[in-house]
Amino acid sequence: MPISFRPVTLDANHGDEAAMLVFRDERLSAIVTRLGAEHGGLAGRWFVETLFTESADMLHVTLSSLTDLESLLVRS
Amino acid sequence: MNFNDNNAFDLVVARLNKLNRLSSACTAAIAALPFVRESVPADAHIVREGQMATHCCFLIDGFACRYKVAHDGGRQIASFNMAGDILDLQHLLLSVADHSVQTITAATYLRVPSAALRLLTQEHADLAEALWRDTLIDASIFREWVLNVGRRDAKTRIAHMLCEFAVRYQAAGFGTPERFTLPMTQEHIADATGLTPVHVNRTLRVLSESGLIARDGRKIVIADWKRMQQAADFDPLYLHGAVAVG
Repeated sequence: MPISFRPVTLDANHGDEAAMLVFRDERLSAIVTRLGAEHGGLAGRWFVETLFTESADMLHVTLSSLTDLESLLVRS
Repeated sequence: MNFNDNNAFDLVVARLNKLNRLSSACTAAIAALPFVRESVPADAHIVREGQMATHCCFLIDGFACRYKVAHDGGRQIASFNMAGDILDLQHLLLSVADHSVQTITAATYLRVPSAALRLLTQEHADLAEALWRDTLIDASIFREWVLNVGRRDAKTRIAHMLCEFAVRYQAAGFGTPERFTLPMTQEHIADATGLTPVHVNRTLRVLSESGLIARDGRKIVIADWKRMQQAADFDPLYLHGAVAVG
C-alpha cells in the first residue's frame, strides 16, 4: 500500500500555501498543509485539511512529519 | 447559606428588569433569596452533564460557557455567558443537567436553591414573566447559533460570534462594541463555531487583513461596525432587545 506525496501551492488567502497531495495506491487520499509562523507553537507542522478515507479521527490533526502521516495512512 | 447580602443580586435584577419591569416588592424578594456565593478559577465546572440539579446559578463576575460533548470527545460550545446571566435556569424545573457549564475566566456565581426561586415565581408574576422571556431569548440565541454553525462559512461564523459578543458586552456595561477584550481562547472559539483552532487562527487573520477587525492579542477593535455587521450576516433582532442598553 505505497504512500506518495506531490507538493502543491494552495490558492489560499490565509497564508498557509505550502501543501501536499497525499496518495495511497495512486489514489488521492488527503491534502495536508504546512502551518506557517502565525500558528505559533504549531508552526512547521502538517495539518490534515481534507481526508478522503474514512479515518475521520485523522481529519484536522496536526503532525510533526510526513513520515507520521504515512504511518497513520498505512495503518488506517 | 448567605442571606441579605445587600448587592449580590444587583446585576441579575438589572438584567431581569430589562426583560420585564420588576416591582419593588419583587426586587426585595429576590434580594432576600438564600444563596451560596462561589468563586472559582478558569476552567472550573459549575454544572456537569448528568448531575442532579437542585440549584440555579447566577453569574455575577467573569465569563463561562455552556457545552455538550460528542462520543469521540469533540466539544460543542452552545453559548458564551457573562456576568448577569443565569447559567442554568432550566434547573428551575428540570432536575438533571443535560449539558455542562464551565468557567472561561475566574468567576463568581450565586447558587440559589431551585425550590426557593420556584416559590418566588409563584408569588411574583412579574418575575415569572422575566424568567420566561429570558428562556425564550436563550432559545432564540441557540437557533441563531445552529444557523451560524450549520450554514455560514468560517469567516461569517466567526465575525457573527464576535458581533454577538460585542453587543452583549456593551449591554452588560463592560465596554463598547467597537473595542473589547475577548475572554475566550481560540480553542473556545473553535468549539463554539465548529471549526479547528487552525481554521480560527487563519480566519481571524483574514478578518484582520480585510480591515474588518484589528487585533492585539485578545484585544479586538472593530473599525467599521456597519461593515462588520454586513460581513457577519448579523442582525440583532434575535436578541429581542434583551441586550438593549438602559
